[in-house]
Amino acid sequence: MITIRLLACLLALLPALPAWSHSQCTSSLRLSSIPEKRLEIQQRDFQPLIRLLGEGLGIPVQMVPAGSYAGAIDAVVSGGVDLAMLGPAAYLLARQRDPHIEAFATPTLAQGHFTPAGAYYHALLVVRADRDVQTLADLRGARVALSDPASTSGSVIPNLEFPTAVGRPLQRFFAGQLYTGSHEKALDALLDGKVEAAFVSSPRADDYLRRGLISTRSLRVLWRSQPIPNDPLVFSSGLCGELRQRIRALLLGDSPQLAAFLHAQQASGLAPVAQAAYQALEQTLINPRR
Amino acid sequence: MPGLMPWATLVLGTLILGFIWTLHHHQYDRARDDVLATNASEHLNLATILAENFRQITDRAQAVVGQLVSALDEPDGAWKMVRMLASDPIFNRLGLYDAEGRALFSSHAPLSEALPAEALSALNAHCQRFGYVPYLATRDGVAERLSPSWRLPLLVPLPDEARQSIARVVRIDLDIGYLARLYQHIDFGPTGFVQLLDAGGRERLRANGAGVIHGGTPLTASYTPSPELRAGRYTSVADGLAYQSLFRHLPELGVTLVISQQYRDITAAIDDRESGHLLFNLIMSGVVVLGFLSVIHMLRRQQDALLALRQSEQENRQLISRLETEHARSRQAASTDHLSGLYNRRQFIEVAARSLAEQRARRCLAAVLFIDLDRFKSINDSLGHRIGDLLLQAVAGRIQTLLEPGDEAARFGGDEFVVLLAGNRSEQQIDAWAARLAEHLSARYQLDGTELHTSPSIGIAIAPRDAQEIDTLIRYADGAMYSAKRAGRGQYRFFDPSLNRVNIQEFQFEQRFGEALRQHQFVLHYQPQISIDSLQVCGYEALVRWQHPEFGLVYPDRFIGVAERSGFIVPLGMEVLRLACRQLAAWRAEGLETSVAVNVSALQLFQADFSERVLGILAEAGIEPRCLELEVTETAVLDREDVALANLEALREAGLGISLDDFGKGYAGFAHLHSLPISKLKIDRSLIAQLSNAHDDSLIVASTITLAKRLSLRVVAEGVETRDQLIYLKLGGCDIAQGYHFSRPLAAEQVRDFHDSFTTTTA
Repeated sequence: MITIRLLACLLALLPALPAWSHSQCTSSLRLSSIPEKRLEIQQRDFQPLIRLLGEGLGIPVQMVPAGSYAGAIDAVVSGGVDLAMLGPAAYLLARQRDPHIEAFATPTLAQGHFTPAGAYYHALLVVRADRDVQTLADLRGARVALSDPASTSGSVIPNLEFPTAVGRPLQRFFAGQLYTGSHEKALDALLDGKVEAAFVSSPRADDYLRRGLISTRSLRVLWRSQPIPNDPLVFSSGLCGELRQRIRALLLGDSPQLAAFLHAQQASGLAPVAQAAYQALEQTLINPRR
Repeated sequence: MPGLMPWATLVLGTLILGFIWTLHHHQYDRARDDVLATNASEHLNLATILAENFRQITDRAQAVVGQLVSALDEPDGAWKMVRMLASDPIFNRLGLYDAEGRALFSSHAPLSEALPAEALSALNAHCQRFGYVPYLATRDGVAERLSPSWRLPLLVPLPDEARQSIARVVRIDLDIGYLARLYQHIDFGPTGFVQLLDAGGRERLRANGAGVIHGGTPLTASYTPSPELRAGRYTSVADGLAYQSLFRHLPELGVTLVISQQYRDITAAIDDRESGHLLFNLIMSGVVVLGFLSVIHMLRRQQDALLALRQSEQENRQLISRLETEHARSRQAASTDHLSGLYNRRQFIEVAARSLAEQRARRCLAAVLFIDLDRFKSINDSLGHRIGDLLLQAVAGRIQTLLEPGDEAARFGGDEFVVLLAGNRSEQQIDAWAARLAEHLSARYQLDGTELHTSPSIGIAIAPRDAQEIDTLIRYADGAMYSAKRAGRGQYRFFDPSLNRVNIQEFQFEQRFGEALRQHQFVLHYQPQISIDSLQVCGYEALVRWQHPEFGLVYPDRFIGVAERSGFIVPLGMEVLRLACRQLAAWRAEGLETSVAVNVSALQLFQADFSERVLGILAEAGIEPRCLELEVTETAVLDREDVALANLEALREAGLGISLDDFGKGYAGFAHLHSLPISKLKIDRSLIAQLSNAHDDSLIVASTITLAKRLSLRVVAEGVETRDQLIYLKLGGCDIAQGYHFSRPLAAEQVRDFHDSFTTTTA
């Protein structure tokens, strides 16, 4: 039902144009990101990037926090921000409202406990290893934590792909779904025992591992999604070409200044990316398997 | 009373248990109420704060809308607005509509074509009621692309200049992510959550500290709070679990904030404590129950023991009373004479002693009557023991009929009865009672077809005059009875102290006669009889003496009477005869030829074989009958007829001399003398004694001698003590004299010397 409605909405909105375009180069740059982490942590993680851009471009660079994935999408679509780190689904949703939004870079993920090295990651259904939950069948009727309705691995893919694994829609498999707003809060809810399972992105789980909040034996993975292309860095449609070029050069230039940023993203580097990389996912969103 | 104890204990135990559990429930109900009230207060506060937060959000929405309206008039306003919205943490996007709902401006193209008519009319109604304030749209007409919806659309009405109607409407979307972040550090409890309801009561958001809850079971309120109520508490149910819900209602904003938590969750700490306490109380109750059960058990056992004790006591009492009855019966049997039903001697003495003491205390007389039936032995012998026993029973019955209260009667054995008269009788009354008793007992008896007569001899002793002790009284009465018996049949006699002494000695004599006879305590003394003419010893009168071990030599005047009354005179008489004959034989052997006169009692004469036995003794001793003379009294020959006379005649014929003793003392006259087989007449000493005093009396002696001579009888004078008497007798013609003038009675061994010397003297 939801996917049908989702599809209808997407199709209806495809031909729409941005309310107003802003083609001339801006005198300041605004940056936002989907709230994958707590805002204060995200703010800190993005500081190297902001510094790099500010120094490289010679204009003020401002981080604009987004309260939700929808907020980030709205900000990019409306031109409220010039540059954003979006999730794959968020990117596709934003592009459906404004096709001129351009993905240009994506982190190359480092090898993690949960995540393979490279351009893909997974949505994971994890349970606490100290609980006697061994199979998916054991989770029937349990409570599950998700992140944001627009999160790829925290909601969209679980809603689209997980039902095929259990043979029924997510809402009917789990007794209650807790939308925590972020992967971290979903993991926290699981670790606090407020839910029996959580859908999280594998890099976020690795991040908890890296930060020592969990150990490799803390979580048991009961389900793993198909590979999902990594989060894209996108330009809003209103950003001028010159700035786009300079930003690309700065970010894809293997600047050592980005090391801390990349580390926080579980990444070994930033690689150029094009819309094509998300084609398959877009197909899945538009034409999901039943 | 002891039966109540177990019940009282049971009631006490129940009360204690009731108290424990009532206290327990009361305590925990109160604790639960308290914790629920505390929780309610906290959650109401929280709902109030969240509602206040929502009001601030709407205030901010109004401010943002105000900026928008002014920005739209500027050339770069729209872009500025978009930049501002992007950095706003609460609102993501907005759209401006005219009064008919047509889109005028949108921060994100396209937001929606138009506002639905229902939404507009609802807004109008809302504004009429609460004024132009922001309002949570119940229907915004914008289809959601993602589920769950992550936005809450607020409608901000912009009135016209006159504030008469809505000129334009701004829809501004609230980012739920903002609320999720806001709530993330609030502790709603493990099962607690907050709900945001719109004006239609529809749940638009459910969230707890971890995030937004989607797909939860709808929460059904137990009742719907009145729309006017701005805050309150109610119970709601989801999945069969009850929740305590606290709400804060903001009708002007179309919003209600509800905070709910499961009751079980709220009271978990109390419940845990209660279950711990419950276990303790259960154990306590168990202990109380066990304790009281054991107390009840103990009481029961005690009661049973008490009951058993009481029962055994009762049995004991019954046993004791039965024993007492038995004892009384056996005592009665032991104290009663079985034949007569009267007391026996032992019991009578006991009873009478008591009675005597009482009489003495009352200063009343008491009399003891000793009753002996005359001729009982002969009745018993002739009519048989059965009649004898019947007679005794009849006598006992007659005695009893005369008894008055306080009087006692007993049978002492044989035909002896003893009566104690108590009461308050005078001596005269006692006399009259005795007379009546004698009369009664003398009346004719009809016993088993046999008619017979008997009479009592009754002796009476009176306390305190005669004696104080019962034993003494009985003895005295017994003595009195003997004197009564001597006085004849059917007589009664009072005890007389002077008589008593004799009687006592007589009694003692009587008791010892048999023994005296066996031990040859009787001896004969001999008084010489002197022929007056020749002054030669013509014979001796044998006089019996009792060589008594205590009293010394006892003279016959003291015991012959007793011997006669007791019948002992018969064997004694025979002993005297034997002694005399033996002595005659002894003298003859020594060359002393003489004769001996022996006194014979009337009773002896009544023995049919008397003469034969006398002759037998003579033959045995080898004595010629002429050497033995028998002296008999007047009464013995005059009263009795045949047997005595026959005996005397037979003996006279055999050659024995017979002398009539004590002549002149009684009333016998000469009329019968001729018919008696006598050879001598002995003039009583009382007549001889008068010879020296009054010459008048000498006539009697002289005439007596003369008359005796006419009957060819030899005359003997007794008690000759003086020479004058002897001369007178000689002149009178008396043949033989006997008395102290010649000699006192001599012991047998003295006789030889006397005989020789007297003969020599006179010769």
